[in-house]
Amino acid sequence: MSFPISECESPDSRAPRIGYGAAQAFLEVGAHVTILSSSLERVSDAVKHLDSPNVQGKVADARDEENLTQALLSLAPLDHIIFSSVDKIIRGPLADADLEEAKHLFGVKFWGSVIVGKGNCPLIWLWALASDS
Amino acid sequence: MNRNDLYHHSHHYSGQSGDTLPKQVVIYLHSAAMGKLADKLVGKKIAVIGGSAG
Repeated sequence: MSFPISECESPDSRAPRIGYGAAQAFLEVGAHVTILSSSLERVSDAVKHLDSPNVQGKVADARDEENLTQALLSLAPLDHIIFSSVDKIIRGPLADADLEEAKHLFGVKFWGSVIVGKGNCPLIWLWALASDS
Repeated sequence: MNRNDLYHHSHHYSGQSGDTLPKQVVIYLHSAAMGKLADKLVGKKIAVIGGSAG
């Protein structure tokens, strides 16, 4: 089984889309996938192009702890979570960088991952307790 | 499979242009690895945060 590039291309060729490609790969093997993004338009676009009965979309903002946590809890139980969100990408010479803007890269990439981990702590504990019994 | 094989079998995405970051993101889903994972992923519920882009 392989996933040639033609099968992993996202609807918007302007950006590399690892998350989209991963979602497509999981759908190919029969998983049920929920796409989460802060943009309703992008979620709808991705779901439309993935074109599978096993995919759904949900708007969630990785910058917003309460919002993202509630979105994940609404999907529980989940077997796997893939985190590929990114916000501002640092581009160009460092000397010209706008550091206030650049901080958003970590706002989502780092703190977003922390939010996912924190938000799932109760679920992980419940899973562990259920597994012990 | 060695690194050269991996490179030649990899799928390249053209990234946004930039002077300080790599211009390509390589996505490679190894067929054997996915083959092994496939059975374990059937019917699983997966959330992809950033799945519309990432």
